[in-house]
Amino acid sequence: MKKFIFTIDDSNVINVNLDQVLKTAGYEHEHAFNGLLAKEKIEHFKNEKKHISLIICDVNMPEINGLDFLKWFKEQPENKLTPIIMLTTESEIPLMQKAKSLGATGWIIKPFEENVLLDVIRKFAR
Amino acid sequence: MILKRNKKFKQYLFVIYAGEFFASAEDIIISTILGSCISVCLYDPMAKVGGMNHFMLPDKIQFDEDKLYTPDTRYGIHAMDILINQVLKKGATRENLKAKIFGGGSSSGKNFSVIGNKNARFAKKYLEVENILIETEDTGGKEARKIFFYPTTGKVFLKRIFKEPFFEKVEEQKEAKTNKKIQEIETLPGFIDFNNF
Repeated sequence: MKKFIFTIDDSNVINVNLDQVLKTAGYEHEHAFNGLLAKEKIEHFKNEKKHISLIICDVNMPEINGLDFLKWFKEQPENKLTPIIMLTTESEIPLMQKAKSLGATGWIIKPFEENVLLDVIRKFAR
Repeated sequence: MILKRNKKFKQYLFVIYAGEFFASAEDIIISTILGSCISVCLYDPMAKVGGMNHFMLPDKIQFDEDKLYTPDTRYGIHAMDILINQVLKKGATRENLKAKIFGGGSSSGKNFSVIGNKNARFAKKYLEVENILIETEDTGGKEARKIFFYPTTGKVFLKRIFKEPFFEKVEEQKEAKTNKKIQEIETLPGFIDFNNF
């Protein structure tokens, strides 16, 4: 069965690119445009008993930003083991420390290389 | 980036160079000089916030409108992404954003006409995919351009510079600075594993 990658980013360009890269690499992929829409989709996945292999999440987004989404997601016991990689233009150490303390697995700074992204997914998707 | 107190405009003037960007919600002016590079001015007229970037794609890229994200365009995408993020951080709303595009000119006798054209097409395609309205566009031609952008109102003053030697000098400066910026970006780690952080 294909591993399922869920991505959250408010940029259409990034979403289209991630969709191309992930589907070409053989993953199933869905995206949401911000943390609020991501919450709704995750509830939907939960009802459908759909297993998320890995989440890639932007930090700066409208409605609910990436760190607030991360906090909400990791507060639910069933999500403790789901890896979340932050994919963002931000490179400030305090933000990374906050993401780590909230339970993120790692951080990729944009602009990203497709190979790096796929290596990270191969390593952490479960 | 240089900060000046402009006597003519009686305002603070932030001058940006290739690879840089600046966003503000204050009554200031952001300025730059463009040859074949592109500047996108983004602003939210409701929130009175705006910003400008200044970038150039690598000269040998094959730009294809159907595949916007390639290893060659990722710095252009980064320049746009980071500008949008900065403007949103200052209080803009994505749906209200409007854009003005400048630059992408050419210098005769060089392959800059092709580069300028690619830069302009890339910026337009990016904004189209992101559903951001392009209000004004002044690209192409043989001239260099000096831009003065008011981020809170979106107003732009444009000065055309036709002197050939000056144009080439501008291009050389831009190239040097762009290469420096790319090197700086490439030294950043691609991935930070929080297990070792």
